Amino acid sequence: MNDENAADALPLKGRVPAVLLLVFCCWHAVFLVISIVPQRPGQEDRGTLPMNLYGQLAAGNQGWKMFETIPLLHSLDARIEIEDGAGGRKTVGSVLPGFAPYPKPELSRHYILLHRLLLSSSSPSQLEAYLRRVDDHLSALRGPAVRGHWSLVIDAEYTRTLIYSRRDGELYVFATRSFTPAKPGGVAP
Amino acid sequence: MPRIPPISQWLRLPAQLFLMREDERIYAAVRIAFAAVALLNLIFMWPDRHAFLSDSGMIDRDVVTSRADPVYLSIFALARSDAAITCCLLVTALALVMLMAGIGARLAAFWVLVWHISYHARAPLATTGWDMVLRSFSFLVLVSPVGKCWTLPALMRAGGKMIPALVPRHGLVLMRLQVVVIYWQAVLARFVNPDPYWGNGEFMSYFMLSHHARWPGRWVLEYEGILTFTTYTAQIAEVAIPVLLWVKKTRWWGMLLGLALHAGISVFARDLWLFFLAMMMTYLAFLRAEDVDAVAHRMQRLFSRGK
Repeated sequence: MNDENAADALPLKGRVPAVLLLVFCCWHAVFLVISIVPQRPGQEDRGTLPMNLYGQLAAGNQGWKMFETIPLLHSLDARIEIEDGAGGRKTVGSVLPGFAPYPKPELSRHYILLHRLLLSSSSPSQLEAYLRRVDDHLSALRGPAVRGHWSLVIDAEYTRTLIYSRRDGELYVFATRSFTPAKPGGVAP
Repeated sequence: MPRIPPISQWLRLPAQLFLMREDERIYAAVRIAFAAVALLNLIFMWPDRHAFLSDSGMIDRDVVTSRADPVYLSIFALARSDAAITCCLLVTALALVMLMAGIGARLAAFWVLVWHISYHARAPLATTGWDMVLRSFSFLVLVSPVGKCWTLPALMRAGGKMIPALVPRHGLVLMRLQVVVIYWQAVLARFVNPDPYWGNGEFMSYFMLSHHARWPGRWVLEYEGILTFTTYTAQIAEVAIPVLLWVKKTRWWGMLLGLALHAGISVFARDLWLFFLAMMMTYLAFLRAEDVDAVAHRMQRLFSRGK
């Protein structure tokens, strides 16, 4: 396309809107090109307020993985176990509000949420807040005596190292963790 | 078209890149497909809207607000009750239908962008890969020419006999660039943050045994060679797809390769079909006027045979 055509291509009546559109396009294109370089682990922003604000409003979080890389986790189940006072335990679902059961078969969005909330170290504040909220909701539902007498139990299956699986045919190893408001870091039962 | 005064010398290259004209039907195809996929996403999120977005749900608003970078921007800062959240989703569904039909499309696109920014801010722990694709495209659809072609009012007025206009291609160029970022960053990330499973070729074996796998089982252990080959092939495909898509002569090969990659993921993985649809939507930005002509011609022949 020659210069004349380039000028003809301008859709806007007037030089200023056309230049503004071009400036915006160049800026966004540069932003995208810079975004091709991935962030390093732990680096949560691109450093400057205008860039972060622009990312938040316009371009979105440019962190692309293509395959959600949690290849070792095979299955996840989360439930809340409440002590009934007579040595037994009652179980309710872990999904708030309403203590709905964790969906089976798992839905991607629930799985990603639970994984990030419970097993990823990047959101301990969210886990703590979730446990506190469960405590409040249970207390409102079953009376204050239930406070502290329950735990969030996570059953997970992890894929074993393939060399070992090829030796004995066992694909997964089972692990259980439980969390209480007093021990949000999780404890082995 | 009115003659515009010549632009400065230094703006010549960007002007050629962004302001050359393309058939407005390409934008219309992206707009319709984007709205359809975003609407499906909304429909599948509907049963869990309170779990993800309300104050009594899974994600704590105070923590989200305190960790927002740089600021917490979300309509859910105001719409906090269950009824308000339901209302927001209903308005978004209406906006998506309007965007699909091309009625008040600019306003609808603006609301759809607000929706995407808002739920990403409110429920960052529950966002998926296809949410991110839709989020980035919601902005690009907003800044793209809306046009009149393939809108419900135009179809009703002209009965499908409307001559498509030529509009600047800046939106399409930015969409294409976005697709490049999606693929190339994913590949580069594996070098910058080395992951042993991609490096040694075992990723697909583990993926086939993971939560995402549709048919996990011992059979995976017997196909080590094929799955190692698939791991490396997938990475080569991720590098090649944007290039093939962007080059006019090879765009159909790019679409075929991308279709094979994402259809493969969708077949062998559970519950990732929205990612497949979202990525296929992005490919429409690489169409050319002759592709749209060919499809329209075939459709016409198909309908005329039916009669």
